[in-house]
Amino acid sequence: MPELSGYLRQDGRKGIRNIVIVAYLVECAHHIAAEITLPLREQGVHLIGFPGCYPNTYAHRMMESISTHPNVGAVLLVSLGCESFARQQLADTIAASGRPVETLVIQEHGGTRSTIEKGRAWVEEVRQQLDKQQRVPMGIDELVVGTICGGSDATSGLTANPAIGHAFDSLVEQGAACIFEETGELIGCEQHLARRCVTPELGAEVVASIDKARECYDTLGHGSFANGNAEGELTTQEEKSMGAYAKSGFGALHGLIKPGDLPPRGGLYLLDVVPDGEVRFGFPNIVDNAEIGELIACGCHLILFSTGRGSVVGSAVSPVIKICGNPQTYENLSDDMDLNAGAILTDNVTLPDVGDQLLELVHETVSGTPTRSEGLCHQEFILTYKTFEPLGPGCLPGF
Amino acid sequence: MTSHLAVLRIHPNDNICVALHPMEAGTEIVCGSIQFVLAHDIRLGAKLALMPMTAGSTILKFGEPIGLLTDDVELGGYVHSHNLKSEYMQNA
Repeated sequence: MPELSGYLRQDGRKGIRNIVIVAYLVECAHHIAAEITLPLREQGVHLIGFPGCYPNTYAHRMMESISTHPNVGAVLLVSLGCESFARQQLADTIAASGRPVETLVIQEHGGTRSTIEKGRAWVEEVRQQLDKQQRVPMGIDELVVGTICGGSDATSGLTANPAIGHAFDSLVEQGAACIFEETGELIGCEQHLARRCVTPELGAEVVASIDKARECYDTLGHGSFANGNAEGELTTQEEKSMGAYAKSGFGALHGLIKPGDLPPRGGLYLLDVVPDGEVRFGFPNIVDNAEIGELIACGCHLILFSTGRGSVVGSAVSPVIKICGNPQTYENLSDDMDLNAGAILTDNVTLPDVGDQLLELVHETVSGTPTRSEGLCHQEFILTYKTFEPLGPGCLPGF
Repeated sequence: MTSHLAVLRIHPNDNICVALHPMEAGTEIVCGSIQFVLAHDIRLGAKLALMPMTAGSTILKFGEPIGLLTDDVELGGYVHSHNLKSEYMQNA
């Protein structure tokens, strides 16, 4: 495997991309931020944002975490002016991280046309500066990798998810931090997962987090189970869960984290994405990209995305590698897929073979080769309201 | 398509197997020592009963319970939303 490299940041972390993000701080600023980004999106300028006018601690933390993510080199904030978002606090956090940051307040900058012009000028200048930055050597033990599945079917649990599990086991062994998520998709796997925890206290926290997910979904009257899953021959939540669970591999579980928490060292981590307290603000994660955003807020440099039915999304900030479990879907959507794990069902290809191909793809992606979704300018991002309490005492054993 | 397998019993304790390809009614299926003929056209991923089972039986996949049968099913019968109910979720 070739040596890895990345962009060194002030906090010591290294990025595998050097993105400029343009962030709208309320939906009213979304159009202008998007217009600033659009002509520059193929030059590593991505759009993120928070639509709500009312403040939310979780959303603020997400915006801070993503704005100071190692893949991000500079940030332009676009504010309408009267929204509640604590824009100065966000700008201060970004500046303190050593990144160029500018805030444009539409109500103070002459409106739409003028703000777009000023924004593009700033982004183009900062883009030129960032393009001069050299990569430095980076170890696998500095890498944070997340995984998610979307548009699952019966093949996901047979091919793509176990292949990701294989890659996760290998990455963790080499010192990387690997994060899987969606406690709602682990309903039915609680006891397996508890047995893999490095301490009984962590096991209890994991079981509690999955119980919380079940209560939340019961209250809302829906699981994470979508009609598309049933068309893909998955019948029940627990069947989908067993297949989803395979993404985590076979290794020990080292910690439970929440959105915005960084893994304190290498190892396998579960990300609890279900809000704490009484059920508020609707569904925990309205769509896959909400979870991808949360993985990125936990420092993930790249995302391994398993799909059976066929998702085409990517993400702002961190590259998404798409692993297709279903050979028919791969034929239909091969332009969008990075890896055909469905070959396990059709060719003489084994699960470890596909896992090894995936590890090669991870290396190439870290080294700068664009993934399919990056090449197609998929830069999806969504952030909504949530409430979280701090981590329980047993969640990060040894810290 | 060079696979020699039509179905996969993922775990030895499983009482269903999973179709690895779409198949037509009348196809003869062999899964270890168990043989049956498909009654319906099926899609990739379809679950097929490896023995006759009665309503209330627990279906095992990956060696783990994935739900309870709401109807009797014959050897080779199709197991999905019409006859399998989650033990965990109201709507799954």
